[in-house]
Amino acid sequence: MSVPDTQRLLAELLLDPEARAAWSADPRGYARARLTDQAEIDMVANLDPRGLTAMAASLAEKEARWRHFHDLGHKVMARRRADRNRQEGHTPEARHTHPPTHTEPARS
Amino acid sequence: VIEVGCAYRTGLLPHLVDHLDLVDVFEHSVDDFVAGAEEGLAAARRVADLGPITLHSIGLSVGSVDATARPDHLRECREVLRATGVPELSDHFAYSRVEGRRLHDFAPLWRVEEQLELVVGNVHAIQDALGVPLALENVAMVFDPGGEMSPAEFANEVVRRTGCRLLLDISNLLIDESNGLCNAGQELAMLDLDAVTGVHLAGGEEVDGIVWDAHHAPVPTSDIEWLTRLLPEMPNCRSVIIERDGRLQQGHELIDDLRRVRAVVAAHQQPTEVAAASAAG
Repeated sequence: MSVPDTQRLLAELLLDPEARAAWSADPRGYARARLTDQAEIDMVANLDPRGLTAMAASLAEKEARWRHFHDLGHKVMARRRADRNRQEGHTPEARHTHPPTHTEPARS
Repeated sequence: VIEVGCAYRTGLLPHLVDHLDLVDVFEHSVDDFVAGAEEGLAAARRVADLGPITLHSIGLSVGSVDATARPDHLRECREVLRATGVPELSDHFAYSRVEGRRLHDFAPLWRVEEQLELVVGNVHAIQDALGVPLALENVAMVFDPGGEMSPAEFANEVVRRTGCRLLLDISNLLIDESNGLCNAGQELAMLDLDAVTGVHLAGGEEVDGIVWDAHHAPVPTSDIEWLTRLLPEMPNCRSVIIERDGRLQQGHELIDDLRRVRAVVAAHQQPTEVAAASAAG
């Protein structure tokens, strides 16, 4: 048994519409082709399609939102750096701060 | 003493500013402070100086091999914990990264022995790196991979093997029950409530027959009733936090939530006085 293998497969199912479509067409066949342990195969074959699809849609929405705010964060930090450099009379290269790295899922 | 508070959101401040007496503690995201290095640490210190805070994490991915793959992130979290003096960090029974690939939400754990061993190893490593205990929270599952153990049995075993604590999200558990994924009463009867150091509450949202942990609505009455029932059984609970992330223009709903929760916690902490007052009034 390999938990990392099953997590990799679940991540594919959640993030990749083509993988999800292939799994939906034949859940057990999809699992058998990618896993060797019977318990792993049973787990992947018995996943609830409705829940999996709903979560995949939610992840796609959250990723889009994250990209929006990530880009916005970069812009805000760049503007702050420019303002500070201007106030301190530094060249743009003289200081460096990291942009925000809010890279994680929504809170729970 | 159990502190009542809410997760900090800038958009809630216009509603909270005249009701700060209702908030004993703000829950902040440690991830907000790890960005920007020194600026983040300075902000964390300033925030902690303003009043009690708890720190919550969404980025440790405790359930996957990625948990120990980012030592810099753990070091930054430790610096924030030291700067603020907060004695524990909470995160989730879940994973949010798989071999560097971000999921943008929490994937539920397959509750088998190998997964348990992975979580236990990660929790040991994270606690060593942070220098404080973790408190792990149950997530709301939209689908359940299942396994050999119930969620409560899995959580208890992690606590037993690592000494970590639990952050009980009553609302998530009741959402799981609404989605047909567990029996909340049975789970709570099994859960090691002595290990619970904090509680989360939030309002969910039903979309196409699935209830989501949306944090967009008032805390349901059923969740408050469970809190009332459980408080006497959680002797180490130190905080009850209400999470509100959406429809912030309806912030008055949070004020009402805070009042309802404070009343429950006050009744729990001073049962005789409240009973006497009720009898007299």
